[in-house]
Amino acid sequence: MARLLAAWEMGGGFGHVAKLAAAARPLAALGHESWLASRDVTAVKAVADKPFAHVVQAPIWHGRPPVTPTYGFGHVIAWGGFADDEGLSLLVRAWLSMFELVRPAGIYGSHAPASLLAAHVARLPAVRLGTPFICPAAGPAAASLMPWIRGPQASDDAVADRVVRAVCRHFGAPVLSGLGELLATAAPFLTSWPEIGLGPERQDSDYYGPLDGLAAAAAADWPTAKGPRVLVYLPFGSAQAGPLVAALGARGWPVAWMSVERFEGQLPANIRHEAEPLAMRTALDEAAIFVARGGHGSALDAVRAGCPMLLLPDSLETERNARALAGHGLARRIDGIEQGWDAASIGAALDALILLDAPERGAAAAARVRYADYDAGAAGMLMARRMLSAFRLLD
Amino acid sequence: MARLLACWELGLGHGHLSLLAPAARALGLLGHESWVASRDVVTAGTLAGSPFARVVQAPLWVRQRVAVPTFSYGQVIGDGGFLIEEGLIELVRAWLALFELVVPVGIYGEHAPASLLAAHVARLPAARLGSPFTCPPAVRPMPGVMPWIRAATGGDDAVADRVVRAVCRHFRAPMLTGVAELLATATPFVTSWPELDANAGRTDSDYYGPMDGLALDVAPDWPDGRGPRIFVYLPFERVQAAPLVAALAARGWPVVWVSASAFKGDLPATIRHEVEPIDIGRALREARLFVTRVGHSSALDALRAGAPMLLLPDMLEAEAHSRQLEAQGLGRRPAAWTAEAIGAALDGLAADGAPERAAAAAVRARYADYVPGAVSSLLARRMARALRLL
Repeated sequence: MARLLAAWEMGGGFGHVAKLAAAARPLAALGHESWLASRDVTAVKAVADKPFAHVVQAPIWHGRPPVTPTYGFGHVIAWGGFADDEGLSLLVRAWLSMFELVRPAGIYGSHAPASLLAAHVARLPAVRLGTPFICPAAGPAAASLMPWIRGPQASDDAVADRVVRAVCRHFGAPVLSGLGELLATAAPFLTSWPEIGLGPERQDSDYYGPLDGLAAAAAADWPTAKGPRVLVYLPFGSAQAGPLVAALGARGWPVAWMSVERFEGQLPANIRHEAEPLAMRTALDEAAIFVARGGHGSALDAVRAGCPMLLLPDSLETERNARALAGHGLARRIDGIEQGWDAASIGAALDALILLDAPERGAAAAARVRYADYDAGAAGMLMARRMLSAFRLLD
Repeated sequence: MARLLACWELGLGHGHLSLLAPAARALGLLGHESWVASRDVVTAGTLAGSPFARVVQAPLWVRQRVAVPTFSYGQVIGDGGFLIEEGLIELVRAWLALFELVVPVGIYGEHAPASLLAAHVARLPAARLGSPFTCPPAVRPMPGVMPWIRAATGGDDAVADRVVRAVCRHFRAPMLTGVAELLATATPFVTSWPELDANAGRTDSDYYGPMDGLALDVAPDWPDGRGPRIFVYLPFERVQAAPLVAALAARGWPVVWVSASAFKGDLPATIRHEVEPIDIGRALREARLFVTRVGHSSALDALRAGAPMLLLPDMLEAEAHSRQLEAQGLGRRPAAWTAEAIGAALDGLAADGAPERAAAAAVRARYADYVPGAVSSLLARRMARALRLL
């Protein structure tokens, strides 16, 4: 039995731990133990079956992020130290200390770029898994993260490239030319589907889909009201929430709204607030429309359930997801990042999406058929076997 | 040789490590190795002549804090998970995993309450050191942290008390009643002076003073300029910075200003910006006065150097220190954070007859015989005894 280290450094929520857990389970079934180095050690409580032998704190970056636009993946991981070679060397050193203590045979990371660099320094085999956003293709010409602004290719990773080279030199490791070569040290495993990626389908990884997720069991408690059921997954503290409440309140449709935060004010009786995660697939099967920011995990669930989406993105990653899904005809996107959102345009989009001949309904139904045979357990097992091959742990 | 784990979970900047480092140095002279589990591995890694054998990442509470008013220590450490028992259980579990990996024979913590609870669960001996704010006495009711608004009540710590009990139950550790009993599991070492303690006169610890901090030897590089030298330790992004820059520029006095961040705009030639920390003791001895947010460590350094302080606090702990210093005539607050009001306070403090000058000189005389090395050696011997190493 080998010991592997699952690593998560950047981002929030439960999605990263959910994906790493979905890999840890089949790896355990194949006889290999996983430890988790987690950005948030408390996030593991969302995973009921405890697939990790131990949970330790991942070294994380506390420095100030540089003030730059985010055109390339190098800009994204500047928030994880990749704009400061001295600081990143110290972060990598902390990862090396962890490797010495845990003694893994290999690492697999979800949004954990410094751990990848440390694995290169330590000559540990590594793989990376995740969404197209956090698990981009390796190569000298990184894809632009905002192709609608900058075109399909970005050349914005010069700072991150320099920092990668400096850290390699600092530790006397084989010098990588930059971020593209760093990513190439770790085989990618996309836990996604092509419908949620911008640009052409990736050839460097299969699409393993949403895997098992967090497997929440709570059923939606739909309020009694007339009209189509609407499932909402959006924090009440977000700017979109107020106009969406107004639009849904005016229509009186039954709504189940997942948010860990409470709504500041009085919710209409047709909106049921769910503070804990629901069993998403069941709730999506029961809903006519899914309204969300465009988070990757829940959007995949909606694709699988054939539920058309109204997306109100408010970050770069959700904006990319929303554009991709809208491009595939699976969702309507309302752009409000700069101008804000209003109840009238949200209401109009809701009204259009419930129509039986709404094009999004047809596209969503086709996607549901496409993935009807998707077996999350089998996909996870296939991915685990290939990860072991990448780790050189298969006979 | 024993291996000890120094722990830091909460707070920012260099101040917490500046208290752990002299203890580690002195424990090292006694033959004991210290690793540090640091909130920020980068800051810990930049310590010159680091006394720590290894830097590892401390388990952290990264979730959103629950918004509660902060009248008591139990509410202060709510920022570290002590308001949510399920979360704190996972945090303590991560500390236990770290203990299994590092295998320390004892821990000493600075603002590291979850590590203390984990040490209790693991039956590891523990000590705690720090300022009066981060290292309060283990009494009930616990002293309030905003006594100028109201005294703390027993109820203020009720949530943290409940969470401590829940964690003990979860790990089947000997039951603690709450936060005060948790603190009582770890011998306190107050690395402060009574001038900064609203509860001066406590008997559970001696006052060990600032010791030798980060032991930096970078000399201040004073710019040319006429007038009194002013030493400033304040991040440029703070709202106090801009009016202070304006007030200092108008006077043309030579200024050394330490800030890790850059100033948005042009600094006058009379203000020298230092990005890295410098030998603060030397800078304070050479300065006419010290302008500060009233961080604990730098305020102690100013007391020792006899530098009167212009006080610009913007956080709870700093506000408490500021009130203490002002009450003893050791510092002054401007009437407002405007260039005019700050300038008037600067002029007043720089004057020969300023009462703060005499008060600061008296404190300097009081601590003239303070020998940091001897004090840290004493602290280390006592800490080694508390950790059952002697």
